[in-house]
Amino acid sequence: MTIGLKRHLAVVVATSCLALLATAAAQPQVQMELGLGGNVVVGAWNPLRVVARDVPLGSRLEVTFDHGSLRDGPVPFVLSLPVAGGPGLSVVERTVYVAPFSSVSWAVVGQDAVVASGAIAGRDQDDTPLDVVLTRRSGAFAAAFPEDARVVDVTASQLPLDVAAYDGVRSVIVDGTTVPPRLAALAAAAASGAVVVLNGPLPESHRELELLLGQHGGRLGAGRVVSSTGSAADVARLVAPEGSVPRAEVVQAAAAAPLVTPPAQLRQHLVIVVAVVFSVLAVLLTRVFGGPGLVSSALVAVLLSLAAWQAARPPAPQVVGTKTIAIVGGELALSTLLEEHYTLPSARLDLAIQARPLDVRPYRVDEAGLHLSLDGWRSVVLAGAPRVIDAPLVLEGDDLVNRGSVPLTQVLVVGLGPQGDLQPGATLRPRDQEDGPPPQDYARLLDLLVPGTVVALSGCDTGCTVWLAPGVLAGQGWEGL
Amino acid sequence: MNLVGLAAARLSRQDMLQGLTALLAALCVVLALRWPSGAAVVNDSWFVVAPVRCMLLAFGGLAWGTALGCRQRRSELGETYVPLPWSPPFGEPAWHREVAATLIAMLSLAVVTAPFDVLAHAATYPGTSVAWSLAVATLSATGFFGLGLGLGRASRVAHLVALLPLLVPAVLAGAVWLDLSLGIRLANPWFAALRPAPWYAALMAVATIAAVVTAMKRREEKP
Repeated sequence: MTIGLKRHLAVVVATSCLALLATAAAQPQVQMELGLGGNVVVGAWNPLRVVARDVPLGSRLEVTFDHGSLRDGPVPFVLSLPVAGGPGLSVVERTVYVAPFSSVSWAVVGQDAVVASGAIAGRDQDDTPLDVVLTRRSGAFAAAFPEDARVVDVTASQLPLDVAAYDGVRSVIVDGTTVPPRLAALAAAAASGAVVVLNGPLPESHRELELLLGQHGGRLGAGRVVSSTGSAADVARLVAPEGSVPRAEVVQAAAAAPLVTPPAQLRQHLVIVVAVVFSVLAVLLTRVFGGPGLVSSALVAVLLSLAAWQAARPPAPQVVGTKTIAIVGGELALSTLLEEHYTLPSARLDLAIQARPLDVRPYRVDEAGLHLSLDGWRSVVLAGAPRVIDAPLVLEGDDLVNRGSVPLTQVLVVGLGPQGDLQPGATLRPRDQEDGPPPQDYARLLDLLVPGTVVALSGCDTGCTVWLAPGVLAGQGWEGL
Repeated sequence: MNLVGLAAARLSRQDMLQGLTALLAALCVVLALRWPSGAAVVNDSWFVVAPVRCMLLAFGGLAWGTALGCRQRRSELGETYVPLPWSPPFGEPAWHREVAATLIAMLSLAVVTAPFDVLAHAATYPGTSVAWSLAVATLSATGFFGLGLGLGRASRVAHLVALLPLLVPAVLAGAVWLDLSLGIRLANPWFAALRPAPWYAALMAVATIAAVVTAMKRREEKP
């Protein structure tokens, strides 16, 4: 009897344990990482990675960044992305712009229930760019860099391939003591504006990375790739951003000038005079001519309405203006699209672009793009995520060459002056020219550029692209730079 | 005389002529104040012009409707009383003709003031369609005229005619208060002008139909 009872108990316990194990196995698990290796850079695009296990099918990830303040109240930026769900792993990767925030909360919602949630405290934010090291002796680099630097140690697999994800990265240092990173990841980092340092004699496994040390002084997009056999302190000196374009300042300066022209209004005096004359006419016609006068007043009113509609109605409810800033380095250029939307009636903008508003306002991003509401007669300037495009402007010998398919106009070399236009396939030898007033499209940017930077425009019929090639002529022996 | 002639004659009488002049003057002033001047580019004039126009037309319709609705019947005037030609007793064919003439005059006021609305709408480019803006003003004029007929009659029956100068603005103020307190857009011409309000349109349409039916009645008063 006792043995039977024990058996029964054992069966019950075993069944319970199995049930618990089964339940535990089915428990969804979600991990969210914001920033490279979990290091968020505020005021920059950051990689976001969510790994979910066993979440329900059709789940969604909702991340809410509150950009508000005590005075303004909550100003949410909501990122909403689908999570594949189902048994096993689901991974969501996205690059998001992280503006200064007061709180970040996230949740994975599936079948009307929150599967997992979490938060990042506001005080964890830091706008210092990252110095990323792939090394086994990260302590040496941390000690060599200034105290205010953010030296972070990541593994090669943590380096994203998206160019925008390196927006907040100042340098990537590879010393060959770890698994080699992917070539594309380092190329993306360099194109995004980071200084990629290949430190020391690299082992055979890293030999492929030396392909990045190209023929344009290591310049690649907005950044560069350099090789150094020096110590960690030498590397720390190498990553100082000398001779590069201050991207954030250039984008701000480019966006400071209006990209659209609001529709012109009828002159106030004309409107008042016409209104008064019509009013007097309507009263007189009605008073003096009776029935025919009343009919005439009505006809005049109809005709005047048609004329007013023709004269005062703007041609479109929204005006859109664009400008692209492209920083050239070698064969690539890092382009940032600026787009200003000016709406006359209040409207909800649904834009299939990866971008963020330059000012603080509520908006939403999902798989379809960016969504925000705009009051009537208001505009918003959006800055797209940085991306890589082909650079048309290269230096061959002492000549600038346009390798693109569209003319480069208003070419100017900072320090030498305007150089004229450059047709596709044509070459131009920079000469010291008499300075005149620079074109409005890039006049505000010139103060931010170092001597020797080549500036050019293209495609200004639809929305100018401003090409900035820093340091192309530096070290070429040009006098006067 | 045809209805247009009657309406023109009605508009030429001092009360409506002064009303027309005041309405046009008010719209001129509002347009002048709200139209952007100098280097200003933002034009939000419609957001004031349209509600002001709608409100003034509603006020005029209510006032003139009340004045007609509160007329005494011939039987109440006494056998010796001879009514003035422009002030026929309630219920007589002449009274119905005057209702029709005033209704058309109200329509004329809406048409004559339409250019202000169209101009402001064109320049402001609001989300509300110009068709609604024009329709709601016309409906407000005729609908509140119909409501005025009822209000005038009710005040006569309740022996409250002496209070009419207060009742007319009070009714409009009550309409505003009702919409504000209930959070609906049913009776307030100001809010209705800015965004399509189906319930307001329905109420005004019913009141307009009532006014039209009243205007079309030509029966003789029973002895």
